[in-house]
Amino acid sequence: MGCNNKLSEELLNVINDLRQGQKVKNQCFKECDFNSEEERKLCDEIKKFIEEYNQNYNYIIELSKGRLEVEPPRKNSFANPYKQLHSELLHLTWQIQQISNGDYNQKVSFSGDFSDAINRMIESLKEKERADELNLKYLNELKELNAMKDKFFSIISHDLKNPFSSLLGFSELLVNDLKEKNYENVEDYANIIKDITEQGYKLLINLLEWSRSQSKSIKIEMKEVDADSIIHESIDFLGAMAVQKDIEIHYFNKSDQLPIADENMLKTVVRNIMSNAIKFTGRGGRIIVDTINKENKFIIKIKDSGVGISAERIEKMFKIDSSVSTKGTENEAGTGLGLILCKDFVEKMKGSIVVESEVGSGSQFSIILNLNK
Amino acid sequence: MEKFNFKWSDLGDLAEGRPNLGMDTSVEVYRLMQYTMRAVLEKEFGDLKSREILVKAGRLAGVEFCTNILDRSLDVNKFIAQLHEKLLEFKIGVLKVEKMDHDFVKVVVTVSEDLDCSGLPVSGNTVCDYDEGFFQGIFETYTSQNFVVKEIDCWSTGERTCRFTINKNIIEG
Repeated sequence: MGCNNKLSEELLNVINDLRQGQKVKNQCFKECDFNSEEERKLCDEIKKFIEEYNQNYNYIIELSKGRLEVEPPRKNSFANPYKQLHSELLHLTWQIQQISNGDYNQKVSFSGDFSDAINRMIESLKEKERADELNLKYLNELKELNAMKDKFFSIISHDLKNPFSSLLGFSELLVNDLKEKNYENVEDYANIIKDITEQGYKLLINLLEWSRSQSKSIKIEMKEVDADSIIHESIDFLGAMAVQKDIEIHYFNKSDQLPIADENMLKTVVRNIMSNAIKFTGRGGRIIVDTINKENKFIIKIKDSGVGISAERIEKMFKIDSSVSTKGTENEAGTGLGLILCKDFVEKMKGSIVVESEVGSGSQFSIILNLNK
Repeated sequence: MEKFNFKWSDLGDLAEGRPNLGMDTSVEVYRLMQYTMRAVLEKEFGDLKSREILVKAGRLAGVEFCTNILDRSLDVNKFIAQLHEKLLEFKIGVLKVEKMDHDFVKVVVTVSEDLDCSGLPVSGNTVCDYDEGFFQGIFETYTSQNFVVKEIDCWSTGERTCRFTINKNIIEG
């Protein structure tokens, strides 16, 4: 067989493989196969062509099996259109992964109908997510409303009924004793009636303020307020209660600035927290009230030497659905409403309450308010 | 990063300076500037050095772009989405992520219709040195960590899209 015939035969084999969509077999040419330098060059080009074609063939086979991790051949022009497709598939895979992780902002732009379907699916997922969020919000609001309703009925049926029952009982005793001109216990009964009335009055005030705040009818007037006067007023108001338990109240005003707050709300908050401090401090105890400025905040600290509060209880006492009333050191009654009201009011004033306490070592309530509007 | 005498405000007030012509120009003018600059740099400093200079310039641009245009407080996925949007808005190219691992160590992205190279004659060599630096500057500014960016496919090597590997430069002790 002549050399030209050998080259032609091998070329025919290459073409046959190509036409059948097969991998092209490597051709083995010998030196004697070439008649000229041109034939040798042609043969080199055919070898390069076969190598690039086969590389691309392997690449497409891997791609067709869905193996996107396959490395595309470099500097191979046969592969360019497939690399473009490969790149699109990799990006699409990444986008689907993002979508499955909840990123619904992806917009797919691969092949018209396919993209439309995927983008419609993303839109419905987004819609569902929005609906779920809304449902959860409504559910939480409903839960809170239900807890409020329960709390309200519990206060009405129990905490408000009790003082009236006691009032009726002691009034009856008082009337009977007066009828019989027995004056021995009159003063005691009158004092008890006074205490019960005071307690009931405080409860009523808190209940009214709370219900007003819940019905959103309360108006907030944020301005610079004289916290010093408010604290003095509360100390005066609660002074008798402290004296009865032989509790000393010390007040140190270390701030020369005025906080931004609603005056009436701040009065309620200070009065409630101070009243709690007296309630949970035993006879002969001490309460220290401080005002300080720190990092553009105005802080009122009310620290007592009382019974302290466990971390578990601190977590519950500001929540309407878990707050429960605890009796004071001398069985003073409460409703568990005061601190909920305080939290609600302080948040409305864009402030916060921080509680630090250790059981047996007392508590410190810090009312944190803003200094500038 | 090396300090250079450039800040975003050096770009000037375009609204005031170009009340009629506005913000837009043609890609030809942009390429005219880049490729004449590249030709002079190559002539003066050789191919390697001029590529190095273009990467540095791109990196400086990436740092300024990220600092002044992008919101760095976003999480990784939102940041990438934002980068995609901004590259479209500024008509730099169409960014697509091919791979991105969770800890952002290895990222592969493609840029189609790239401002620097799409449509160039095939020369067999990558030319998006400026883009390499640009991505490096953006990713380094966003993460405050070092990155190595390498263009592995380019229009000028015969591909239809530019492909970059963006790898966190982890120095092992």
